[in-house]
Order: sequence, then structure tokens, then C-alpha cells
Amino acid sequence: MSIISKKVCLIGDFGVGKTSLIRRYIDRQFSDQYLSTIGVKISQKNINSINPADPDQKLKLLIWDIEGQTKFQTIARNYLEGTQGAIIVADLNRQDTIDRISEHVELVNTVNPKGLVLMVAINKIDVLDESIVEQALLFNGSQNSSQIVVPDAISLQTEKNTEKVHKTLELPQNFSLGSILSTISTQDPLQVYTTSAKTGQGVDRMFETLAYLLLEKKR
Amino acid sequence: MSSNGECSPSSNQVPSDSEHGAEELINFLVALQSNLSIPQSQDKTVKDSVLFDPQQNNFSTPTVSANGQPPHSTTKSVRADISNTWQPPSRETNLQELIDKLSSKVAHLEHQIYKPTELINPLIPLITELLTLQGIGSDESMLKALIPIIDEAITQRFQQNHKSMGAAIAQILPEAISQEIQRSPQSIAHAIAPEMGLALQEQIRLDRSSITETLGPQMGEAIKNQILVERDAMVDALYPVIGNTISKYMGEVVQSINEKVESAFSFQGLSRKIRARLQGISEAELIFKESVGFSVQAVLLIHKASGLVIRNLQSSADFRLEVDMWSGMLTAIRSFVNECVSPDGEISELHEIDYDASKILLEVGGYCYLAIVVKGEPSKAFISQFRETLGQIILKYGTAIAAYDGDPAKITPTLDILLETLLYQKIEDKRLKLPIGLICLLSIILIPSLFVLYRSIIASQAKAKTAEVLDSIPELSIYRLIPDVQKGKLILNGRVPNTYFRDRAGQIVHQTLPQWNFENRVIAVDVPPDPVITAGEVERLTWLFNEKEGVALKTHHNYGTQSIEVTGVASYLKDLEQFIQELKKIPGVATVVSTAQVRPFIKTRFYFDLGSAQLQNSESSVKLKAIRLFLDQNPRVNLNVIGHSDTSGPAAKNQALGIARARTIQNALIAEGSEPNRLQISGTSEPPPDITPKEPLSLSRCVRFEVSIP
Repeated sequence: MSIISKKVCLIGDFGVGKTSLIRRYIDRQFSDQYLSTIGVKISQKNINSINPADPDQKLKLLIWDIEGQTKFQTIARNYLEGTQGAIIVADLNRQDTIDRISEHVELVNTVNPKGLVLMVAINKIDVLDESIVEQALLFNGSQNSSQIVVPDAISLQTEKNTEKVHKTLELPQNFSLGSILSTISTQDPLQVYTTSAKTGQGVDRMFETLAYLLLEKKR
Repeated sequence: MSSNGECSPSSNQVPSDSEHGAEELINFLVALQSNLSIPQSQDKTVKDSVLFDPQQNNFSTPTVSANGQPPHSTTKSVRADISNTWQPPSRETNLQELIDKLSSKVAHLEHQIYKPTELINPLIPLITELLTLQGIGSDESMLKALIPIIDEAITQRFQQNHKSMGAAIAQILPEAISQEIQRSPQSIAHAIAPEMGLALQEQIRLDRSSITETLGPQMGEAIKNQILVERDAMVDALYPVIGNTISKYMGEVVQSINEKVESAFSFQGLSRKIRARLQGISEAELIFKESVGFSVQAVLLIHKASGLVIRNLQSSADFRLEVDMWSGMLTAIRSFVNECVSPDGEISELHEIDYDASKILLEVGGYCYLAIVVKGEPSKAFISQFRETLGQIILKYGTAIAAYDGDPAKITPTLDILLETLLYQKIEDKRLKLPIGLICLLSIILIPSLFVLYRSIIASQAKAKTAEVLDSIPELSIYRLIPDVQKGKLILNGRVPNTYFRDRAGQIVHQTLPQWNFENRVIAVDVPPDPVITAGEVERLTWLFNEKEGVALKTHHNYGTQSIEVTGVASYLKDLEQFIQELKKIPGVATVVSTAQVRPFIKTRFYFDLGSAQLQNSESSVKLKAIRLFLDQNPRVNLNVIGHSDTSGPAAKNQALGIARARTIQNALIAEGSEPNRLQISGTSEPPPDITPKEPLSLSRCVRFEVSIP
């Protein structure tokens, strides 16, 4: 059986961790050093037997890491052309990056009007963890309360879920997920993941789900 | 002519032309009308173009039920009406009554005929029905019958109210056209084509953007179809758009020609010729070897938008590209070039990427592009093949490629065959093609060079012959005369001392090679006379003059001042002067200085007593000293010492006396120190030649001297 190739783009503001997510997923590495991506960087990941029903089917993900700088918006549009999957990345600790998720969604949708698998990754949850851990330690003096479970994937569809998500993620008060949801109008449920490229939390899960959905879509 | 209202399709014959059809229709309508009740009350203003001549229609008017009801719209009911109302006239009816009735009917009809509206209005629904039926039965005859009428009808209607007409037609037009297109696309195209251009032009002038919006989405598909149907026409149509591509292509062709021509005359070309000669193979083969140095390493067919690889062929196992990464990056670079490199409003395209000895060639189509990794310099033929291949791919697989979603299995494997032809080049084909251009080039070079070679052989033969001839002439052989050939002309260069030699050389050459156009460029120069020759001449002249009697001259030649010093003696002044004149004529002699003496003989005489040969003491010693001095001064001169006696006494005794006297003087001179061999003695009984018999005898008894030059 032939290997099916799929193009996936990572977009989002600069410094949200697009390159780090890809590096974590493909090379299993992480570096604190920030290197700005110029133009585009393409990586490739081969996935074997993603679908239990069809174990022979192999998939090749071509992951386009597109520069986060906003200077070259027109060229970014070209890079997005023909993509079958897109992950919009935001930084949990930078509200402005989260506010702009909707802009990115619109951009992807205008370039590729046909249905594509769209995901949102809210990255750098490790930073959140630490602060909460610190807080917890400060107030409780106990190690147990640090075991905060952050769900890997939550399907957000309606406004009323926002509060639930907010609560489940234990996001700060000033962090508004509503801005993501209110402006996005897609028929498909938008997959929002919380990830950490540093710890690897949620990264594989997100990419694998994306791969699975890409194959599902094909059927 | 059927008058019973039956209108079955089979009852109509197919008319031979449209006029017959029209006539038939009219007749038919009239017949029909007679079967129908005609409402008097209706007075609609529907104009009608249907006309007929009532006089041609000679028919019996049936009884019509004048109930004022509009007729039913189906033929069945019409027939029912007819059967109900129409009955043959009874026998009881008065003939006159019948005639009256008929005439009134005719008058009524006549009235109606001149007011066609009343006649037609009730007919309209029926006509539709009839037309349908007729249409089913015989499309063509119906069509032909209707054409002239419809044309006029439509024309009039348009003049009257074109807006409503347009609205009416517009509704059914798309459906009609689409059906017609399905049925016979060719004829529609033919019909529309001439109007299309004008219409489009006008529309574009009026509202450019709406046309773009309307046509845009369908255009791509339509053009592709059209290319399949008729490629050439499309090429013509698209030519202005493709201008850029073509100009680029032309540029390449011109460049390749330039390169070939340049290399033919370059050092490289020359060395190639020599190598070909040495290796014993054709030059074409060498050129081929030089230029063929390229190999296709990989062929990638890439989806243009996503950068996903559709097909990937690689030449060898050891050359393994990370194709997906390659194609992704190529796509990104292409996008960048498209978007950012060109000035506003233009789209520039990436054609080639060089790295080391390899290059990636790109050719972009609608939804995909073809990338080829080539090592070395690809030939022009290959590049055009490459372009052609992409053209074929787009034509055959364009739709599948447009919808490509990353699954290579969705595109038929036949695509690979096209790509493989690119990967495995047929080298033999090119070998046949190459020499044609090459032969032309070679002949351009070789023919003139052969001609030049021939000319140079002829010229060198002529030169050799000339040199040989000139060498065989002794007086010319000493001069350096160089024959040369320029532009078919034989030229003789060189220097000779005088014009005589110059002309002589020219004459000889011309006689030897009369077929040549000859130019004599020999220069006659005044050579400074050779001093050796001058000396020789002087010597020769001196010897010549010394042959004369009484001349004993010496010359001394001074090379530096070119002067001659003349010494010695000559018997006569005339001889000396002549000698000096002759000397001055010798080339190289500037001045002649003469210290020579003109001394014809010695006047000194020794006198003797009668019958004695004894020297007289009185004066002899002085005279002897003077003679000896003369001999010393003129060493080349000898003296004849001649003894004389007087005429008295016997001659024999006198002669012996003469000799004795001469010997006395000789001895005396020898005693003085003179060389004996320079003194010849002789004696005679004769007196000296200058002594006449009248003079005293004592003068005859003497010894005199004659200068002799040996």
C-alpha cells in the first residue's frame, strides 16, 4: 500500500512555540533557546498504522513550520495553500496570542475554503503548572495539591462550555477562552489542545489525533 | 387539402421547400378555421402576420355553431364539436336559401379575412397544439414551414416591444441552448463563434469585472477541454498570454546558437578538430561527448499548492533524495519567488536552481509542477521534451492532479510511463540529430580553408619558380630578390644597384610566369661602389696604359679618400692626360693626383773620338751620375744603350765600334752602381736618327739612350 502524504501547517504568533512543538514531536527534544524561524521550515514524520482498522496504511506528515512574524502575511498565505491540516498555536501566558487565534483560523479558512482539519494548541502549559505549583506550595505547604490534571483534549463547541473548560484547565482569571470561541464559526468542532513542548505533555496526542483525523477525512 | 379537420401527422406530406410548407400551413389553417365556431364578441388587438389569399380557397362553408364559446384546446374536443355541429345540408333546403346563406357567410368570411385578428385569436391555443403535434410528426418540415413566418413575426415583435420579448425568450434560452449544445456542440459553436468575439468585446467594454466573475471559474475547465479538442487553435488564442514563456524560450535558442558558433571558432573548437583527427573519430562524436554530459537523477511531479509529491522517480539507488522535503522546500521557494521577487502586478516564475554541477529544472503547470534534478548541462532537446511532458501530463491527468489529496494511488500509474521517458534519456536519438547542424558548421569552416590551402600551394610554387629563375641569372643572383604572392598577385621585392637590373629581373619573371599578374617592386638603389672593384678597375687601367710604348706609370689607391696617386713616367703628355681622365671615370674614384713625369727619352749622349771606344774624361763622370740617378728614380724603366759610329770606314768595323762604345758606357754605369740587367746594349754603323749627313761626323760618334719599359 502506498504511503499517503499530508501537508500540515503550524501557524501562530511569533514565539508561541511552533518550532518547539514540532521539534518535540519529531526529534523528542526541547531547547529553551529561542530561534526565530525565517520563512518556512519543513519537517517530515512517518506514522505507521495509525488506524487499527487498517494497520498497513502508512502516513507521512509534512509539517510546515511557518514564520510567526506578521511582516510577511502575503507569503504566509501562499505557504498555507493546499494544506490539509492546520494547527494554530498560542501561548497560554500571552493573552494577545490567544486573542489572535480567530484571525489565524479565518486566514486558514480563506486560503483553504474546503474543509480541513483544524486544531488549536495552547502551548507552554508547563509555565502555568509551575506557577500554580508554586502557589499551591505557598498556601498549602503540601506536595499533593501540585498534582493538577490538565486534560489533553477538550472539544469546545458552545459558549457554555467555556466556563467548564476554564475551570477544568484552571486558567487564570484574566485569561479568556471566550475570545477563541466567539469569533470562530466552523461547522466542525474545533479541537483545542493544551500542550507543552518542554515536557512533551499533550504533544504526541495532538499530532496523532490530527493524523488520524486526516486519514478519517480521506475516507 | 383536407377539409374535415383531421390533422394526423401522416396526412401531411413533407414539402420540398419552405414556401410550400408555408402554403400548406395556411391552407391547413383555413380548413381548420372553417371547422370552428368563431366568436364575434372577441376583439383583441393581436396582430398577425399570417396572410392568405381567400380566392385561392374555394371551399364549402360548413355550418358553424355560433354559440360564442371559445373552442377547446384539444383536438379531440374539436373533433367532437365538429361532429356535433356540422351536418350535410338536407335535400328540402331551398337552393336559393342555400345560396343566400353561403353568400352571407362568404361576406362574413371576407370581413374576417380583412380583420385577421378576429380570425386568429380563437385559433391561437389550437395552433400551439397543432404545432406540437406537427412537431412530433415531422420536425423538419415543420421547421421549414415555420422559418419564414417566425422570422418576420419575431422581427415585428421586436420592433414593437423588445423588452418583453427579451424577457420571454430569456427564460427558455439557457435551457434551449444547453440542450442544443448537448445535441450538437459543433453547430452551436459555429453559429455562436462569429458573434461571440464582438459580444465579449462589447461586454468587456461595458463592465469588465462582471465578465471576469462570470467566466472565471469555468474558464480553466473550458480551455482545457478546448485544448483536447483542437490544440492549435488554442495555441493561437493563448499566444499573447504566453508571450513571456516564448520569449524566454527564444532567448535560450539564440543563446545556444551563439555558443555553438563561438565554440566552432574558438580554441576549444580547434583543439577538438585536432583531437578528432588524432583519434580517428568524427568531430561530431567529440562534440556529442562534450555536450552530452548530463544525466537525469530524479523526476518529481509536485502538487503545486501543497507541495506534496505526486510522483517521484529516481535514477539510481545511491542517489536518494528526501523527496518530500525537497518538494516542500521547492514549493516554498516557488511561492516566495511568485510573491516577493517580482514587481507589483507581475508574477515571476522559478525556472532553475543550480547547485554544484547539478541543477533543478522547474516547469510549472496549472495544479502541479515538474521538477527535474539534472547533473551536468541538459541539452535543449531535453528541455523541450521536459516541457512537452508536462503539457501531456496536464492534459491527461489535470483533473486528478487538481484534486490530489496526498494519496498517490488515486492517480493512474500510466503517468509513470510519461515520467520515465524523462528519466531514461534515449541517447541514440540525439546522436542522429547532432551532425546536421555540425556538418553545416564544418563545411562553413572547411571549404574556405581548403580554398585558402589550394591558393597557398599555388602561390608557393610560383615563388619557388621565380626564385629559381632569378638565381640562374648570374648578375642578378648576387642580389636578394624575394618573390611574394598577395591577393593573387605575384610581387617581387628586393634591391638592385640600378634600374637596368631592376627591369631585367622584372622581365625575366614575367617571361617565366606569364599567367601571373606581376608587380615589380624591386628598388634600384645607388650602392656605394665596392672599393675592391674600384681597385681592380684602377689596376686594370694602369696595366692597359703601361702596355703603351713610353708609358711606365704607377697608381696608388687610397681607399679612405677615394683618391688615386699617379707616379711614373709616360713618353707623351697626351698619354698621361688620357690616363688620368680614364681613372676619374672609374666609380669610386673621386680625385686623381699625378706626380708622373712626361719624359720620352734621355738626351744625354757620350761622344767618342774617331775610331775610339774610350770614354772621354772631361764630362763623363757628371753624365754617368745623372743617368744613374734617372735609373734610381724610375726603377721600372730600363735603358737601351745604343752605340753609333760615323759613316766613314767599313760598316762592319763601324758596327763593332758602336757595340764597343755602348759596352764602355754600360760598364761605366755598372761601375757607378747601376744594375747590369737594366742596361741593354746595341751597336750600329748608322748615325743616330736625328743626325743628318750634313752635320759634322763627330756628332755621329756617340752613345745615346732609349728608355724602355719592360
